[in-house]
Amino acid sequence: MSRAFKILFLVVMVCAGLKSMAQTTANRELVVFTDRDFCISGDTLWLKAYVPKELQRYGNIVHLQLESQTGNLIASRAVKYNNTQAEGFIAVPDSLQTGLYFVHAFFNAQRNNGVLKCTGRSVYVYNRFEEAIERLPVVEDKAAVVTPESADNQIDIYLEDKNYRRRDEVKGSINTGDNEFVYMVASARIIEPFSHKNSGFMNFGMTDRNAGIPPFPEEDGVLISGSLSDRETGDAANNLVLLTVTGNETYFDYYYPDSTGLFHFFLPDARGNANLILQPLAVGDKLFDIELTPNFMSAAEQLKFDSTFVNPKQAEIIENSIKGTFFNKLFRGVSITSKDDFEMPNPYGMPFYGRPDNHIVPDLFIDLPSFKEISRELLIGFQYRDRNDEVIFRMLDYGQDRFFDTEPLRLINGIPVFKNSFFQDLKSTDITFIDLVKSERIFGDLRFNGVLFVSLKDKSNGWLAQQPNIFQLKVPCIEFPKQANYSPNAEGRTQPDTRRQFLNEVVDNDKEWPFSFQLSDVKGDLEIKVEAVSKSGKLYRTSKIISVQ
Amino acid sequence: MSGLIKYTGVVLGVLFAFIAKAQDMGIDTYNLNSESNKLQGKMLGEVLTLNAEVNSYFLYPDDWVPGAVKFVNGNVFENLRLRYQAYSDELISYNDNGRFLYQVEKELVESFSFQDGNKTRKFVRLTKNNNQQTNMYLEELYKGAVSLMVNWYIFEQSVSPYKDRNGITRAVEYQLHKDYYLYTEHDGLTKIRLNRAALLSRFPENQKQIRKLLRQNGIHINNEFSMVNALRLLIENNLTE
Repeated sequence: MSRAFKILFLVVMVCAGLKSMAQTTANRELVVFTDRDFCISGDTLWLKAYVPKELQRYGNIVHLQLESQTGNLIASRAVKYNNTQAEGFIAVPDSLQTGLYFVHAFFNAQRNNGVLKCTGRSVYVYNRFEEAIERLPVVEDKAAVVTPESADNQIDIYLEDKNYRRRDEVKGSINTGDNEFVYMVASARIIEPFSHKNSGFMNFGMTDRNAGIPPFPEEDGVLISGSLSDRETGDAANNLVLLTVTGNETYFDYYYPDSTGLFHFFLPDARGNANLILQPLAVGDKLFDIELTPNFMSAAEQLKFDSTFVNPKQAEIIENSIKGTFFNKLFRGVSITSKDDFEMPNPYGMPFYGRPDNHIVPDLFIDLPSFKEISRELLIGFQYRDRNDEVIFRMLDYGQDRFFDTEPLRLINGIPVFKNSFFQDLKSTDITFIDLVKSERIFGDLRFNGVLFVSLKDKSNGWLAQQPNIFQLKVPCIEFPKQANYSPNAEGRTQPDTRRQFLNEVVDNDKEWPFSFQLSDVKGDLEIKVEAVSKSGKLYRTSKIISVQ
Repeated sequence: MSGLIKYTGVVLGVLFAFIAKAQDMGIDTYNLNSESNKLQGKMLGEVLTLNAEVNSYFLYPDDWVPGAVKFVNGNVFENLRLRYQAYSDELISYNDNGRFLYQVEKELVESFSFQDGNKTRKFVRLTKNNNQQTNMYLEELYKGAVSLMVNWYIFEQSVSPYKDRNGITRAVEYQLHKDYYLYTEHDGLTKIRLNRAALLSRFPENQKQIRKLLRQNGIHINNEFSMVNALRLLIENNLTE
């Protein structure tokens, strides 16, 4: 009896230990919150992620990604977190098929952690061109689904009224009492019953399928990776790769790939969509191919799915939601503009070639018809030698009081140029300024025998088409901070209002957090929900559902 | 034998053509390797050719020593081979891959440190002194509310002509001198000698307490070490305000 008692005690203790471990996983995992359980293709899915202090050693850039059931990357974003919160959005592609999708988050530096755990979310996407949705997938593997503990006793959602009609103002407050949650998100939305029942938090095990991307902690910047190969043979090449970022003329970087041809660049403080120009440095006429490697993590194990019939009432609500989204776009427009904004301050505070010895603005002088004339009249210490139809440039070496015996580094709009013929026809009216560096400069392990930098008034870089081995690529960097707009249209009652989301905000850990929003013309069940992470890392949820008549 | 010469000629010719082509790019790459790919940021500077005079008299320590440089943008470069050029107040480094010397871009340096025997010397670049823009390296002996800094400089002195170790006749001698300063954010640099009287005169309102404190702790200020100890004591007892 005594032995049986001991074994029982041991088992109880082990179970208690396991339970406490399970409860505190959120302390070591990113937790993703979405503003909705479903979205229509073409919608914008707004995300928030709780970043525990324990993970902040991995950098300050969080990658948010939308993944399909089969583990394919649909879209991803890099966002910078503040304190313990990351916020961002994912534009759901217009052509995305109806189905169940998953939102994950990770730090790049977590790549070498084996199977990476994350508390993500599942969301349904309904393709807006689909005529009738009859069956939808549901997760069969219930162990992957995280059911938050009820927080009805700790969090109280108070509403001023009991009954609400369309376009009514909903006012209330969220009271957390003495309970201390480290992170709370309040949201309000009209429920679509199928997705409300079948989506939610999920436990994700993610693994690195892009072998080769280094687990580099991204601090205020993003890592860009790619591979270089010989166009003719398709084999990996290890030629030096040069990087220029248009929009920041004085930024430059290089990477020397190993035998695998993989290269990586870190773009510090780059926000928005960067236009990168990559050039493998080749001797002779060898041609290369460059391919960027998307930075994402894949599910470690494929989840099992089952297919469930959508009942006629659910199908009708989904159809109405699709129509509502169409009207919403028609009358409210698209909230996220796909502007090509890009910002990137120079990390060195000076050009990569140092302060120039001469800075010449040709507009201050008489107009000159060719670069030969410009160099003769304005560029002191620079020689333009034109012999036997071959143009050679030479820069004065101030320190040695002689001319360098090799070509200087030549840049047009910050892009390295290896043919002097590009300069020949430049007139002074084409040029904003010219910088000359008359010393042997170093940048990392590269050396330049003087630098000639020509900034053109025309920044379109059309001349690039004539250079071989130049690759122009658009790359998303850190997302500009943006906020979802859930407020009604300013036009008022004259236009239909088909919003289904009304609130998605982080709740301050005060005892009382007031909120208010105006309902739309959509009838149905309105859910006001608070999802919270406790100090011990446990997930909680409480909600109030009211019928909008 | 004749065939060997021919082959050697061809190989040399090809190599020469390759080098000439590579140089036309305007970028000298030398021996790049994975160590060249510093993702966080690259070193900036200017290639330097040392003359015998600089090499013999102006560089400290006498040989290349391991060290680290921190840039104002937060980039840290470790395992560099460094020497401080005290005459023109510049930091010189040796690039192992390219086998060349370069002067580190001073405007970007926040601090650098190197191993001098058993001691690690840390230099910081001072950008402002009493609201005046400045750009000088100072060795930081002690960092606190009041820091103790050292300005190293080479003093050129006329002497009777003599032959140096290279057999060259000279009429000047170069001597390394050090000036000591107390530094505060508010007051900037104030020159100080390494003795008790100088320290007392810097804090006239607390002279009595400072005297007592130094006596109680048996500190006799006559070198860098004792001055650092004295300063630390003063700061701990709030006597530097």
